[in-house]
Amino acid sequence: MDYRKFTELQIDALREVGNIGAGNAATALSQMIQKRIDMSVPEAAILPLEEMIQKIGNEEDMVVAVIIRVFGDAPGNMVFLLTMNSAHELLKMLLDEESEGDLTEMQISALQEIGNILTGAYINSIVKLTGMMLVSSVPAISVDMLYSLMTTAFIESGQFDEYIMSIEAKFIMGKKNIKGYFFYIPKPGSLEKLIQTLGLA
Amino acid sequence: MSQKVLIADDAAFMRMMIKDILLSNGYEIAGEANNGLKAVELYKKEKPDIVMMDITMPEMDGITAVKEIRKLDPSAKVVMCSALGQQSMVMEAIQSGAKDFIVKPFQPDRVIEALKKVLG
Repeated sequence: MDYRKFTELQIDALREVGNIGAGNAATALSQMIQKRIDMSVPEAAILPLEEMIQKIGNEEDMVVAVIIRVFGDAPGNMVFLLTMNSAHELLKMLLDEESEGDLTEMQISALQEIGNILTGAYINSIVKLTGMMLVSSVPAISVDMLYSLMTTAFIESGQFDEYIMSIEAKFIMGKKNIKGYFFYIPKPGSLEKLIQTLGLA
Repeated sequence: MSQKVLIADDAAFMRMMIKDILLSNGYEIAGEANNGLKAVELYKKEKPDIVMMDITMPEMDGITAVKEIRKLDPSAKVVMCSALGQQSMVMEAIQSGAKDFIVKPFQPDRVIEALKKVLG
C-alpha cells in the first residue's frame, strides 16, 4: 500500500480527523487531571518508520505506550505514547505523589485508564464525524524501547511497507513540557474507507 | 442581503465542510484563511459580518487572532470552532471576545444555530 498516492486534500482530511480525535482526547484528559492541555498542530506524516521514530526521540529511549486495537469499519491500532519522563510527570499530576524509576502496579493501572479514556474519546469523535462503526479493545500497556514498541505496533497493523502513514498530535501540559503522542495506525484499507466515508474518494 | 462569513481553519477539508454548510443555508463566504495571521489580514480587507475561527493553527492561533481582530474592530463577531473543548479554553475564548464556541465534531445545525444566535 503506497500512501504517497493520496491527494493533498485527502491527506488534509485525514489530518483533520486526527486533529478532531486528539482534541477530544485532550479535553477528556484535561477533565480528568483538572489541568489545561494544549495541543500542537497535528501532522499527517507519510514517512519511513525510522524517520517517524526519530521525530519522537532516540531508538533506545524507554517509552510507555497504551495500545488499543480498533475493530469495525476502519480497523487498526491506536497508540498513545509518552516518554518515561513525561509519564512520571503525568502520574505526579494524576496521583498527587512523587514518581520515578520503575512503574508501580497502581501507576500502570492509572496509565492504562488514561489511555483507555483518551483513545475512547478519540474513537468516539471519529464515529460522530463519520458515522462509521468502531469499537476498541481493552488497552494493553507496554514499557519498552521506542524502536521496538513502534515497530511492533506497526507490524501488528499489517503495515510492512517502507512508507507509513500516521496521524500524530502532541499534547502539551503546562510548563512541564509533557509531551504525549497519538498515533492511529490503520490496517491496510482503513484509510481508504475513511476517505470514502468523508466523500473524498 | 446575504451575510458574509470569514472561515479560518488550517484544514482545507474543514473549510470545505463549513463552506458547504454556509452556502446551503444562504450565507456568503467573505474569504478563507488557513492561519490566525491571515485571518486578521482578511478581516481587515473584507470586513465580514462574522468569523468562524479554529483554535489550533500555525503562525497565530485562533484565540490570539480573536484578540487582534477585536483590537481592530471591537464590534467584531467571532464564533470559535475547535476540537479542544475544555472549559478553560472556552472561557479564554469568550473572554477574548468570541461570541460562541462550537466543539468539533459538530452537526451542521449547530453551526447555523450559532450564526443565527450571534448575528440575530
